[in-house]
This record gives sequence, C-alpha cells and structure tokens, in this order.
Amino acid sequence: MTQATVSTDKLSTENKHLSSNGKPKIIGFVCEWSLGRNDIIHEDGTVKGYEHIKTIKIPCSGFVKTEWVTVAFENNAQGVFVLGCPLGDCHFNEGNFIINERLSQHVTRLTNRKTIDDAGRVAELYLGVTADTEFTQSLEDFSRYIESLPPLAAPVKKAKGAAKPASKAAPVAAAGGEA
Amino acid sequence: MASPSLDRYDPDQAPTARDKGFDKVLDGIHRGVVAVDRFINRVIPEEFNPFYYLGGMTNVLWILLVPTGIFLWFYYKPTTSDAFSSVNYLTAVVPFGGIIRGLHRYSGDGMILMAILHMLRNYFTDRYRGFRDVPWVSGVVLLLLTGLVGMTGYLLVWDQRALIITTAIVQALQSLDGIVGGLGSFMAKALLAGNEPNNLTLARMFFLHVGPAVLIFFFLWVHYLRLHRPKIWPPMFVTLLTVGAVVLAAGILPIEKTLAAGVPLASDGSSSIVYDVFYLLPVLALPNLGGAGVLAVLLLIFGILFIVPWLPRKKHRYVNVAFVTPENCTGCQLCAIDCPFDAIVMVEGANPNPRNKELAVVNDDKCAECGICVGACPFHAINLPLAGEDMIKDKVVALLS
Ligand code: HEM
Ligand code: SF4
Ligand code: SF4
Repeated sequence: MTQATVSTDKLSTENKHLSSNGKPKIIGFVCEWSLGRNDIIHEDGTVKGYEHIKTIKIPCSGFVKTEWVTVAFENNAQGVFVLGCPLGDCHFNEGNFIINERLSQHVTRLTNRKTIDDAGRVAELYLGVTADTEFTQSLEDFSRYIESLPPLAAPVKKAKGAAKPASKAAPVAAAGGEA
Repeated sequence: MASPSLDRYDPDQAPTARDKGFDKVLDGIHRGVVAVDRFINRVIPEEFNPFYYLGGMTNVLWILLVPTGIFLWFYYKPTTSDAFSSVNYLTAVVPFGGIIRGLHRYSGDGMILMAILHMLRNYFTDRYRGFRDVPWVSGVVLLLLTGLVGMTGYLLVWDQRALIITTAIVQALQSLDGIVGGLGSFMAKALLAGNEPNNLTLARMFFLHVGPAVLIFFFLWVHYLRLHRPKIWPPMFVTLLTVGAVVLAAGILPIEKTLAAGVPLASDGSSSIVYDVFYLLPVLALPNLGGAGVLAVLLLIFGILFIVPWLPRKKHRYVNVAFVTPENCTGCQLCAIDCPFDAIVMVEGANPNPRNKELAVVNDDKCAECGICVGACPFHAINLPLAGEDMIKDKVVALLS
C-alpha cells in the first residue's frame, strides 16, 4: 500500500541522493510547538539557507510514525531528523519521550536490516521555540556528518546494497539543549 | 468542502497559530518563558529542569504537609485556653517538634508559591484551554482550598496574630451586612461559634483547616483525571531539591515566637507581628480596602481565573481529533497506552472483526489532537483527519523527489 516505490532506473540513481545544491538530501519532521512556527523555515518546508534540508510540520514529535523514517530512506534521503520540544516540556506532556523511545528501537532495526549504514543518519533534536541558533548549529553539524558518510546504497534489493556498516558514534543524535 | 489535506492543516488551523490580538501577546510571553528554560537547560540537563515539574513539586510539598500535619495534630488542643500552650509545648519540648512545625510551615508556603508558578507557567505556555479545561478549573479550586487551609492554619496557634486575623475576618464579614442583609453577621457567628471568640471557636477553625485539606485530595483526583500519566512525582533530583529547600528553611529559619492571644498588644501597635505574605495577604490588605473591598478583589480574581480557559477559547477545537478506522483496528491497545490524555477507550465487543476482542474509540472531548496515537498504531487504524499518514508519506516522497 506504500506509494513510495522507487524507480529502478539505474542511470539516474547516481545522483538521486543529492539535492539541487549538490548536498545529500535530508528530511526533518518538525514539531509546530518547537521551532515549527519560526520563520527560519520557508513555506515549502525548506530550511532557510539549507536547500537540501526539507521539513514537514507536524503537531507533535510523538506523531511521527517510524514507518515514515523508513520511507524517507527508501526514497533516497541520506539523513532524517525529528525536532521536538526539550525533554520534559512537551506540549502534550510525553510526545518527545515517546518518539525518543520509538526511534531508538527503530534505528537499531534499520541498521540491522542494512537500510542504513550508520545510526547517526537519524537525529533527534529537542529544542524550545526560541532556539534558532542551536537549531541551525545542529543542522550544520548533522549535514556535515551526513556529507562525510558514503552515499546510501539505492534501496533496490541488490548485493551492492550492503554499504559498510561503519558504526561510528553518532554525534548529533539527541543533541538537545546543549550546544 | 475541499477534501482534507495537509495544506489545510498547516497554516491557519494549526493550534499554534497565535498571531492575532491577545494571542499574539501571549505568544510573546510564551517565548519569554521558553527562553528562561533554555537558560536553565544550559546549567542542568533538561530532564531535570525544575520548571518542567512545577505541578509535581507542588504535589511533593502537599504530600510533605500531610504527615507533618498529623504529627502536629497529636499534640494540638483545639480550645482557646490550651491551643497556644500546646503549640508552644510541641515546639519547645517535643523532640524534633520545632523542626516538624517548621517543615509544615515552609512546605505550606512552598506549596502555594509553587501552585501559583505552576498556574502561571501553564497559562503562559498555552496549557490551560481546550482539552485542559478540567485540570485548569480544578486547579483554581485547589488554589482556593490551599489558600483557605493556609489562612486557617495561622488561626489555630491562637496567638496575638490569630486574634487580630480573626477580628479582621469577623469585621469583614459583618461589613457585608449592608450588602446582603444579615448574612455577614450570620457567617461571623458561625465562624466563631458565638458572638465572641470562645472555647468552641478553635474547633470551628480546626474543621476549616482540615476539612478543605481533605477536599484537596478529592480535587487532585479531578485534577489528574484527564491525564494518563500525570507528572505527580518529579525526577529524584527535583524532588530532593524541593524537600531539601524546605528542610533547609526549617533548619535556619525557626518559627517566630509569638505571644498568646490573651496578652494585650504592645502600645507600639502590630509592628512586631509577622504576617505571612503568601496566606495573609488578604488580611494585610484589609486596612486599605476594607472587608467588602478585599472580598470583592478575591471574587474578581477567582472569577476571572475560573473562566480563563474560555478567554480566548481554542478555535480549532475538534477540528483534528483522532479517528479510528474500525476495519484496520486489531484491538492491540498500543494507542490507548501511549495517549497522554487518556482519550482512547478500548471497547469490548465493538470490533467489526469478530476475532478481535476490542476496538479503540476516541473520546473527542479529551483528545488533544496531538497524534501520538498515530505514531503508536502499527496497523494504519488511527489517524488525524487533517494530517493523515498517507498525506505525510506522500509529502515525504514529494519533498525527496
Ligand atoms: C494546588 C495544588 C496543585 C497541585 C498539587 C497541582 C499538581 C499538578 C500536577 C502534578 C499536574 C500534572 C503534571 C504537570 O503537568 O505539571 C498538574 C497539571 C495541571 N495543573 Fe495543577 N496543580 C495544582 C494547582 C493548579 C492550579 C492552581 C492550576 C491553575 C489554575 C493548575 C492547572 C493545571 C493544568 C491546566 C494542568 C494540566 C497540564 C497538562 O495537561 O500538561 N494546577 N497539576
Ligand atoms: S493501536 Fe491501532 S490497531 Fe491497536 S488498538 Fe489502537 S487503533 Fe487499534
Ligand atoms: S491525538 Fe491520539 S494520542 Fe493525542 S490525545 Fe487524541 S487520541 Fe490521545
């Protein structure tokens, strides 16, 4: 039932992971109680100054279905992040703790299945509504980390699929409040 | 009507669209509050930020009040002749009596302080209207009860201060006679169990101290009714901080010494009498405002507090409450477990598929439109109408193409 099937056109897979600005595609789910209502994000969801980072506004970070993270990677995303309010200050009390729990499970699943090569491709940010600078700083770090990774193998089931499982420490994951 | 779409959800329907009029002012304050949090989060890990647990801290202080109060009750004699000496005895002679009295006093002060901060924070972070009407209104009742309990607590000591307060309250009530017939005098008489303070008076005061305190338990139950897992207990660090602050206060600020109610006031007036700013503020305001004035101000404040959840109300209410697709629901309960507002009931025998025992049913009044249940359901059975999972999936694909 997923409409998210990928074209298997081999020639075009080369650059499918790159955005028009030549950087790896990153997608983020952004809680509207966190930075979702600041104007650092364009109407179309692109983060200002980061052509390759697109966001989707959501009512709460706990709304994110882990399935969507998989769909994003299957559609050539090179990194996925979820932005919620600081842990303890979820507008809906528990959303960010819940997504934190769900994602830690899901990321293990994704790496075990070799959908992604590195757990650091999924980041969680927990920032309050005024934390613009922390947000761009974390995105900068995340983006640079993703750029340092080899492009994710096209999600077509093939032998080449298993990129090396470099299990580096994930620097950006759960980069809440600090920075 | 156009079919629901993410675009319709995004701009104006969003709960956070607070860009007009009074809402805009509130939004500014909200940002200010969050900026303070951010500052604290630099110093201590955000999971331990006390500001996130003001309600829980209030609760800890309340729980501290109960055993200390019971201890005081062991020694307290509720008669005008013995009350003062029994309090003095337990303070000076009973082992740890002074400390425990201090704990009772300062956790009481802390409780009302924290309750007010908790209220302000909930107001300024937009946690007061819509589906939060029940916690808010029960909270205002709790504040009222806390104030009443605190004020009557000072009367129980039956020292000079208690007599002054009692006289002031009686006068305030009697001054109502002009407005509401003889009701004021009647209430004053009921309070004193007679026309003058007598040996039965303190039994009335004692009832007014303990009765509302018992009611607090009831209203706390109402207060937590709509929350699935209320943060009643803050993290250990915050709990210890709260208890520690009270113990410290009790240790370094022993309860002030007062004189029995029977002792005439010194000629230099009430300057030597210490008043608690938290609970006795209305009494302190009496000389300036008069009895009717103080009562009017209190009535106004609490009247406004009671209707605050509807000023301005949440316009988007019920626009985006979760809905279940019964054919997909397996009755696994995952959504009901994760819903922070206890808005999902599992109804037995309602599932269209006879093999599945239960069906998830959303209670629209409780639903906060947060979508946490959507993330919980592995079977595509629960969704937000304006942000369906397929819409989001399509958007993910579209943004990446
Ligand atoms: C007097 C004693 C009070 C105690 C012990 C108390 C305790 C709590 C606790 C433990 C919670 C859940 C955790 C949290 O969200 O912080 C809570 C929630 C809440 N309280 Fe209170 N509270 C008190 C007074 C008040 C007052 C005076 C108000 C406002 C008038 C208020 C309004 C609320 C609201 C609106 C919520 C729901 C917050 C949410 O859904 O996240 N409370 N309270
Ligand atoms: S999580 Fe989904 S399948 Fe399970 S009870 Fe809730 S709606 Fe039904
Ligand atoms: S959207 Fe779902 S999780 Fe959130 S309050 Fe409503 S039923 Fe509960």
